Amino acid sequence: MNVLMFGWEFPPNISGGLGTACYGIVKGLTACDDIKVTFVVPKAYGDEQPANIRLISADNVSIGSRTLLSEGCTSVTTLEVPSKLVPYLTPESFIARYQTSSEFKETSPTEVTQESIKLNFSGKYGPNLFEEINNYAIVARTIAQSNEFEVIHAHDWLTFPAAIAAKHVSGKPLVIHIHSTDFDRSGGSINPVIYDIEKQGMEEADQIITVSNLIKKRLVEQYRIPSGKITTVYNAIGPDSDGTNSEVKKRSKQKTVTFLGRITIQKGPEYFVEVARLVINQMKNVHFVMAGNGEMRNRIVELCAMYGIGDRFHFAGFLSGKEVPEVLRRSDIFIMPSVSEPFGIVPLEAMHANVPVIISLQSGVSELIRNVIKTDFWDVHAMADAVHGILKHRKLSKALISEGKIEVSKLSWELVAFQIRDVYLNSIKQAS
Amino acid sequence: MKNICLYFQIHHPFSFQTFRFIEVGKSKSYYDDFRIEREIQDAVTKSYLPVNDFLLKLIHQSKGKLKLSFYISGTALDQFLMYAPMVLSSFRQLADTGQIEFLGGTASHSIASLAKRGDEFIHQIKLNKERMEYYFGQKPLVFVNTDLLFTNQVGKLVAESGYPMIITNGAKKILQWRSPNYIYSSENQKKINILFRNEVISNELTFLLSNPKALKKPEGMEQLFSTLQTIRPEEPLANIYLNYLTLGGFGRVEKLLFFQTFVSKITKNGTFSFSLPTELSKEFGPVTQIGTDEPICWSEHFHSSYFPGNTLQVDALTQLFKLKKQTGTLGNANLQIDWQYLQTSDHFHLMDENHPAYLDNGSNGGIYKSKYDAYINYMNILEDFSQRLKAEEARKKFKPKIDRPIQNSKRTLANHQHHPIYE
Repeated sequence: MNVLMFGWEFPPNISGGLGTACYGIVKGLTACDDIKVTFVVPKAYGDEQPANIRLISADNVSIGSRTLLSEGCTSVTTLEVPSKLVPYLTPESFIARYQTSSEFKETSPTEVTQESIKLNFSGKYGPNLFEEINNYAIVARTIAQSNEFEVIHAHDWLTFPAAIAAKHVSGKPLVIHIHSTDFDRSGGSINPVIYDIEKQGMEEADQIITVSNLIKKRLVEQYRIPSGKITTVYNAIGPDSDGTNSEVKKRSKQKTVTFLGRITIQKGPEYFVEVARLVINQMKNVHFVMAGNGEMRNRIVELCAMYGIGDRFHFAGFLSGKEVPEVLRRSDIFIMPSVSEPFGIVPLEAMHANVPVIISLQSGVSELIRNVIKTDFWDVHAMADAVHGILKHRKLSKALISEGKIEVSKLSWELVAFQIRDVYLNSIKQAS
Repeated sequence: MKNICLYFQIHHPFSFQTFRFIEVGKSKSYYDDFRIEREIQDAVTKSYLPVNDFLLKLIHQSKGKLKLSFYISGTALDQFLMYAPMVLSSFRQLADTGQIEFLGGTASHSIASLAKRGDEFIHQIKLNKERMEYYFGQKPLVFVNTDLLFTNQVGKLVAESGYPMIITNGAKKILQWRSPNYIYSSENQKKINILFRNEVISNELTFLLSNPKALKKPEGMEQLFSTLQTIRPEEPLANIYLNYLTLGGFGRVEKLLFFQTFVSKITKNGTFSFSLPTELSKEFGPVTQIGTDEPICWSEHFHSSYFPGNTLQVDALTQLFKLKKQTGTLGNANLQIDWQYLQTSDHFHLMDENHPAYLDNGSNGGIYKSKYDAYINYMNILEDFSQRLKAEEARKKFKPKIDRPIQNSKRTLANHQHHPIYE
């Protein structure tokens, strides 16, 4: 079975769980003998060496192809499409991202690719996200015409128009994979255009994969999608995520409680501060670390100052892929107080790195794992209580660590791929 | 003649309410009074009162042929006294027929038998014995340990407390090839006889009673009787041990009709009869000795080798019984009561991930989402309790020297308000 997959760039160039998930799924799929993946990724260029990109296609489409998965993953062909798309874009942030660079776009590689794609662009290439998505769809159409495949698999809304175009050209069944919806990303104030694109993608799709029942419910309720065509496939973590070489942690008197993620409303950073306040008032030798960046950062700093806990509340800033496991390993507790989290892969990584985990019940991952402490995101007292309990009772933290580790080690991307394979087969059966 | 002993267990714990670490030392009550009252009232009106009435009629109808045994846990007894004293008179009525035997237990459905030292266990047995005698006018002769827990050590301590018999679960683990339908004696304490709950028959009857569909079909009763026929003629007794709530609640009318048919079939059948364990012990002696050091038990949701439990349970238990020494000498009634209720096994059951409360991802309305929550809450309460113990000790030391108002009077007053019944 050949799969045409519209996905996202792999690590280390990732800004969130989407890239990690795509990487894991593709890796898992390569373990299935009967599946071959043609992987299409948008490639934000400019920082990329043009020499890397090789023309492999006729039809005036300039597409780069290179092997991303070298270790034994021969069944994946990767096609890189020059595009400015990155995960988690909103029209506003897109403008912010590219506005500044638009002045020198005449000389930038943008021009070059525009020529090599030879599509009818308006000439003026303003920072318009939706235009970019449409361009991507046009490229996708060409790719669909020139490649052999049985099923199309697309990840999140930015790729939906491309996937739909590919479906229309080829007539092959479409599987879309929802890692998050606009409701999750925007914290409620959705963009109607994005909503339309998402809904259209879901309606065009033959099968839908969601990363949790939470998202499945949202699709049924907010997008009016029949639950019959939605399958929940939880994410996993790979054995090589990190922690394999983690030595035994030194037990120091100073305890660290960590928050890791974008400091945005849906991640619930202010609840973390409330928890910190409650705990710091009662316990000595506890420090709270907030790693990440985001639009709410300044507000959180102000909040800390207001509570007067600045001496024990630290901001670590944005962490690169390599630093994440290191910070996790140094933590005594990891908290994810997300208001809305479609899945949330970091708790799994924390469990893998021998860290007790507290997560909100409003996260998809809470459906999957048992050996963590779950509270409502707003229930700061319960969260503070859990922090206090874990730090105070060594038996509790030991039980969380050892049982959590066992639980996480049972997850694998191969099992995820196996479930996805079933969805592929279903969609092919339906289409024929 | 095959003797059937029917035992009914009645137990309601004093469930805790959410107790945060910031509330430690702030005189907050440990118990979820609203929930406790709701649950006990629900059980009383939908099960205990109507079922007791029904059984009373049935006993009179059967002309002395129906005999039943009841185990009422100490905490359930306390709750009856607080919220529904009429249930006690209803049980007294049953007791007055002379066809009812009440079994003894621990004072608060306690797992004190798992503690390293036996003193608390013996203390609890003694307390309960006095209360059972006072409220039901019977000296209990058969001991029911919490969750039917049994080890050689338990047998020894129970024998020392003056009980001639104990009932435990007829788990394969201890019986192996042996039959549960005999009386055995304990390996290291020959004075005490052991009765075994017949797992197969008890579970089948429970299953039938909790399935309204199965009740209506005649096959259910046939199946039950064919299981009863597996008791061999030479075997003296079969112990059927159920939760009393299975006879009441939803679909009570059908259940009671079924039970009535069951009783009349047995009394009319020439080969079966109902008996009380004390009567049987006079008739039959132990066939052989049996024993185990690995705990065996029975509780509705857990397997027979559930105890001593996981790391969290063991830790909570160890921390709890570390306080035993301090509680021994205290005269404060509130502290004594809290000390007893802290030992109730249900709190420890909740520290297991297989507890039915956690089946549905914690969305069942209980206060705990996982075993970890249960542990944290319990430890917070324990911390508060231990602080109160220290304060009480300090107060006692302080008192004789200086004659002036007690420093901690405010706290003691607040505690009194939680347990009006124990004034």
